[in-house]
Amino acid sequence: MRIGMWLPLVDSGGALLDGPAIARRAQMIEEAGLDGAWLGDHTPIPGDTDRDLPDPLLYLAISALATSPALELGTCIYSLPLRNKYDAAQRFYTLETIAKGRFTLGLGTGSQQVEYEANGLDWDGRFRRMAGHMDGIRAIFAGQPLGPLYRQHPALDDPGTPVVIDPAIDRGPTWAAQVGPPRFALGAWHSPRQLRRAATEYDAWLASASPGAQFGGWRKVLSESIKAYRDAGGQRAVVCTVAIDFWGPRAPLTDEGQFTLFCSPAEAAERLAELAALGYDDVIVALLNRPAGEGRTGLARRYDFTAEDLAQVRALLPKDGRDYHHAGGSR
Amino acid sequence: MRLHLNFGILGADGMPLGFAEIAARARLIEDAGFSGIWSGHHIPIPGDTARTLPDPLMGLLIAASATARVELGTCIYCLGLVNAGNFAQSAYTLESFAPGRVTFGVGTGSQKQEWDVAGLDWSQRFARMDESIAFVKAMFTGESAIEVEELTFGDSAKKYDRQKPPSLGEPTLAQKIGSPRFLLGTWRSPAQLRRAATVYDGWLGSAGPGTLEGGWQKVFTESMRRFRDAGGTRALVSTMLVDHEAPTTPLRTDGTFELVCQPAAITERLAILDELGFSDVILSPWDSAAGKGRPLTADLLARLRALYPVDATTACTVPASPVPASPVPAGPGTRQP
Repeated sequence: MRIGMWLPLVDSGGALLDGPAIARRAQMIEEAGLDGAWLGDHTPIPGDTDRDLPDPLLYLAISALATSPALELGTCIYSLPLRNKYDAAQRFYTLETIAKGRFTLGLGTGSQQVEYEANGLDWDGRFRRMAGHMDGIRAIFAGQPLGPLYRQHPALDDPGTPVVIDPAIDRGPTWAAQVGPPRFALGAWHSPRQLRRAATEYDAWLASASPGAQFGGWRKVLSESIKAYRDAGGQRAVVCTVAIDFWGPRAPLTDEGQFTLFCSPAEAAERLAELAALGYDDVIVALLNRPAGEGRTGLARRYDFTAEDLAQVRALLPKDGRDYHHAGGSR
Repeated sequence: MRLHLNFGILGADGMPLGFAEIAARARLIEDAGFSGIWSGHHIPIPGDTARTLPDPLMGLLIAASATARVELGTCIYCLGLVNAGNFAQSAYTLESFAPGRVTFGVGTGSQKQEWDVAGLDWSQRFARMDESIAFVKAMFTGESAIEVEELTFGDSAKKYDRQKPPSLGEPTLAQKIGSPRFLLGTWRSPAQLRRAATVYDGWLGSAGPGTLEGGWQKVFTESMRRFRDAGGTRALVSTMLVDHEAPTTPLRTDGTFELVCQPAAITERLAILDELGFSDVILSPWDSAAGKGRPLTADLLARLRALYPVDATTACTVPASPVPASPVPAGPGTRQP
């Protein structure tokens, strides 16, 4: 089983990381022999410190510039329906242009109703919107028009009147079609329909280590879900995001609870071996409460790591020799 | 008057540049003595080769990492077309990578089809812009009418109990990083020019289409007066095609403003913009004979830079306007159908 690591947002003193510092953290992850650098996503809301993550795609772009193709770069997960689908597609093919083959974009609806409300979106329609977004994004990469195209010259007296372009002259492969898509992974908890979709329409499935486990506990959810995913032909199953805290009080791992690594490194290795035995290909981890995060809340708890911390994480599992590229291009 | 460059995002083969090429191009521009690096924006539409441009924010991020001094900006970013919260997130992330150097020229965009495919109402574009910039600015002041909640992860026991997260009251990431500058891209509308002066950090005027009605002299003069009367300070003009190898034809005051002429004439025309009160002009090197952009080389950049005296001032030390945009967003302010 491969291990990916969350990029930190702040240094050990709580100060924000700048570009060179982010680049350095990505290099440290690669130097430690870990398999990927990952970052989650929430759409910010004014005044809300729980959701104000940086733009994960810009962090991954900086990380790509500083590391070799050995390191996979991914989101876990990017809340796609909260974006304009074509804006998202543009960011995706730009990433692919600057560092081809490096990115695995874990996508999902997001699990926060307030983020939908703040953006004027219908929470109940999130799965439909997600599917429509993916159709639009795949159309961008296919380079095929979905309807008539127009070339509107901004100097027209009436800017609302488009001019139909001549397909014989204007149509050709778009850059997005030439560059090709990144790998797409679907973030899903345990819904059979979503797991089938992850297996048949995406390159990988991102399972949830914690929230998804509320539906009967981690062992039941992660066991049943991977079976459903494999039965549908799924190739790559990833568990994200597993919180690590080697320094705080031990939290026992019960089948009914969430999957965490709030324990000693030796016990953490045993717990991860159970995930590997279930058949998961990757686990994405994040360090919590290091070194002085006690009492902090929300995302501010994710503190910086040292090379020693990363070596400890690396030692939790034997090195998986498989290349992350094995999942191939997007379906 | 400062000279800036729209750095282009495509290589000679018509494909978007890779990161090494973007970084090299950014360094060339900075080394040549230009004041800033700017990039345009269109939302892609499936199958449309003319609109499948790269994301300008990624290009500016790479330019930021490759340079140390120049201003980094968009001219213009179609804010109304994207999710405002998502844009604000990119804005503060970019600002954190290049503190003080980021300036977003934003506008509605001028392409109705881009609004149509996004499922947005073109006739509401100005109202949507106002809502969007209010939401973005609220991100940096931390004040809005949206009630924030704890992360719930679908836990129905916690959902909508309106419990205030313990972190409330601390500055957000956006507040810690601080706001980049925002300019309003607008042609000649009096209401928009007033907004540029009062809600934004300046006005980004249009060299071409915006001057069609009545000609550049009338439009630039009247617009500048309106902008100044409303208290506006920084006025930029973008994006000005420049071709120093083209023959000089007279600059008609009732037409568009252009720099497609011999070097001496370019210098004279830049002086006109300076005299009109523009503090910055954003150039885009153009090959009129070939009908496409000119490859950026050190030699070309040196020639262009030498056409006008160097203005050693910088906008990078000017903080963003603290004026919040109204109304205070209560959501849904940025609806995306």
